[in-house]
Amino acid sequence: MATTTLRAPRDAARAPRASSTSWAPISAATLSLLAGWVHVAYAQSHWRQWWAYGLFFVATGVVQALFAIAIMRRPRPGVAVAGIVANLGIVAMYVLSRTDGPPLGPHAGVTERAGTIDLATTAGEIVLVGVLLTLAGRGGRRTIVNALAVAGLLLWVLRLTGNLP
Amino acid sequence: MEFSRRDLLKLGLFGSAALMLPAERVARTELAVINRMPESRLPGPFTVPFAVPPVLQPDHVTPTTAYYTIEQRQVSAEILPGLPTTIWGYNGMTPGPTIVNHQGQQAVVRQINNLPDVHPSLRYKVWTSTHLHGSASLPQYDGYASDITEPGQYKDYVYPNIQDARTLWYHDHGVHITATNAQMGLAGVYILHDPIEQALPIPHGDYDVPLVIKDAMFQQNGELIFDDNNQSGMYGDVILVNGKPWPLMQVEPRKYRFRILNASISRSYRLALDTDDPLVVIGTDGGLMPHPQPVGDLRLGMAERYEVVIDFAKYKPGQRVVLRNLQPPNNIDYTNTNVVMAFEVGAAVSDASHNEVPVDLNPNMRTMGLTEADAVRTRHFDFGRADGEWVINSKTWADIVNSDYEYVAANPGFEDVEIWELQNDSGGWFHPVHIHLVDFKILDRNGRPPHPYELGPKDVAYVGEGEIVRVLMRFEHQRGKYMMHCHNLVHEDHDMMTQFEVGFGGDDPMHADRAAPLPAGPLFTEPERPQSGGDAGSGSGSGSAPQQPATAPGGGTTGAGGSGSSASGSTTSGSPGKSTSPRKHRRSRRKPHKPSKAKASSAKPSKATPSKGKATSHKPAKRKPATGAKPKKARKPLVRRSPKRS
Repeated sequence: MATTTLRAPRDAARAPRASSTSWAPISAATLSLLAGWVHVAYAQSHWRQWWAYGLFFVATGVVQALFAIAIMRRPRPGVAVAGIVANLGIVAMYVLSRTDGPPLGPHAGVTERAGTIDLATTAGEIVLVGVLLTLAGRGGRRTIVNALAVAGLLLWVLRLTGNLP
Repeated sequence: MEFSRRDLLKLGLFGSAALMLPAERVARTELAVINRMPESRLPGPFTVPFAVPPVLQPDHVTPTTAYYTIEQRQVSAEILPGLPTTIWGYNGMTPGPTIVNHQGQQAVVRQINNLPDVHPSLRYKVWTSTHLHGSASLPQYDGYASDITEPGQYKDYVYPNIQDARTLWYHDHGVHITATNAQMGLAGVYILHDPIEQALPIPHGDYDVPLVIKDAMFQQNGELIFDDNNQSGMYGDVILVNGKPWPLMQVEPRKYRFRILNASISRSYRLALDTDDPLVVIGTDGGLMPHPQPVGDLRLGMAERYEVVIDFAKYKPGQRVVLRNLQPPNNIDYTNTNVVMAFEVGAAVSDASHNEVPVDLNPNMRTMGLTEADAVRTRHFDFGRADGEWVINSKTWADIVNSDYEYVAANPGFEDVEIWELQNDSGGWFHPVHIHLVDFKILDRNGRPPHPYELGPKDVAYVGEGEIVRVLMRFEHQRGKYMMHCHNLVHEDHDMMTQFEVGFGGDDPMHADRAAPLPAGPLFTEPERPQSGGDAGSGSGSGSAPQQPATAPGGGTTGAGGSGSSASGSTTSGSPGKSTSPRKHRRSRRKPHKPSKAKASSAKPSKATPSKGKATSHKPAKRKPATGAKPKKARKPLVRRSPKRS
């Protein structure tokens, strides 16, 4: 069947081309470490608001640091996809906190103000997702890119129709 | 592995949403600031006529209670001549209508939140909580910040009016969004009269004028700008008095009594006349001072009120007298923030009565009679900044929320007298500190005597840069949890607010009487036939003149004169002759106290009535058993229909 002949070989997906492996893991690790450092740096101020906020920031920072090590040692599609999912979760929480307010805690429902550092960090995480997509394998990449397009479209529709504050 | 153009577009769709939606609010503010109305297009000072907010007429009046309804709604108002400004107003106006009441007659004010679900430009979810600043209200009617009323809900606030005559104000106190809610316009004056004050020969009626001072900044299209300067404060380049920019007031050559309120979000003022004539201060936050204090200038922090008499008789007809602002440090000043308003003196006096300032105003008042020897303990509170938050003793309101509203920074006993030291180590900020429920006496400021204009009962202390202000107060009138916070509302929102609990067994402000969804039930209902024997309470009947008070041992006044609505100086009117059953206010689904508070189990229920020696018409209400709150449950009428009698 034509569909089977068009699909990329499994080995090819698991072993990205040399051009990707040369720069993608290093870039991903660097971006992840930077984002993790920012989260750890801001953990204390969030801890003051609520211990769970602080714990979220510490956990996020630690996971991003560990992920930097993991992606350097094993730049495989599975690791990349795990990183994509985790960072998208962090980005989603950020968007929620800046549009509808955090879902839990003493500031639940209170929209936080976006600042330069948190916007830059989020931009870095989106770039990180893009970098990780180059390591994710062709099939996984297509699925994730399409899902991101749908999510982005949904956010804009919700905002433009007034359903997202 | 390369991305196709289509992939990049898809990623861009997501990335733009993830970054632009959060940045949108910041961008709106920044664009608004860039689009600020140039000073050349602002009205010149003293070109707009002065106006006074109208007095709110009660829906109904009984000998014991006056009932009011206020709707919070968004309207387009003309603040700058010829330009529409979207505001939130009590009954669609800012300042809201003035409420006038008399000591001994409680008020029930229904606050209906008909605001939009989200702020029109900042896009935050909207809620309100209405605080009557200066009232010894029960905890659930004090505008507890987290006791919120959402759009489509309403709440009936009960105000006991048991205190001495004073200038109060009602304003929004919704948690974390107070600054912008108030800047949108949610503030109004509430005047309480008592027989002592009414009997004084000081100016009354048309010569008793509220001045609500506030600053604002506008875009070129007339809309407000909300720039909190990185959570330091919100400042405007236009000074509004009663909602008018730098107005010009026509006055007669006689004495006027001005009730000056600083309703600004973050700006303090130092007021003085350009003639260098004195301002005679006769009242402070908590009412009349023992004796008048002539001062050359007067520092006015946010939420502070001073009653000032200015004598225009000394000026020539046609002379213009300017009320200046000497601009205290640590505000952001603009070209015309150094003036507030002007008075133009006329030639004739239409009423020469009540044109004096006696030497004794209220010499035996209870608060100012307190001495340090009365205090049973001293507490210390540091107001500062840590980790990007404004804190009190290193705590924030988030700590209160995290404790399920159980944490209290202090737990003075009921009727205990305490000294609180309020410290501000910073050289770059001032903090007007408001302690709810109580009136206090300022003992000293960095060890020096308070300013002459502070020699009256206060509920806000201007804690200036590097200052320690000691205040002395009796925790009376009510039991329960009350807030203390900085009245720079930006500081309050981020998160310089804590709470204390007076005694044990007070009503739970979060659950005792929650907001309910609209449509609201009737505020009151007419009885089918008048009750024989009249209503309980000490009122003398609607429309009657207030009785002279008896002086209580502590110098306080008894509230025996439950006055009607047509007492001297009041513009409220009721329905004389009609009688309704007083509302049996729902009270206190109290939460059980934690075991650590051992006294809680044996504590007496909180009294609706004040301390000994004060008789009021406020009736203790029946308590319901402690159960979980059901805030969405529809309400019953506030006043129940009297049963038919055969």
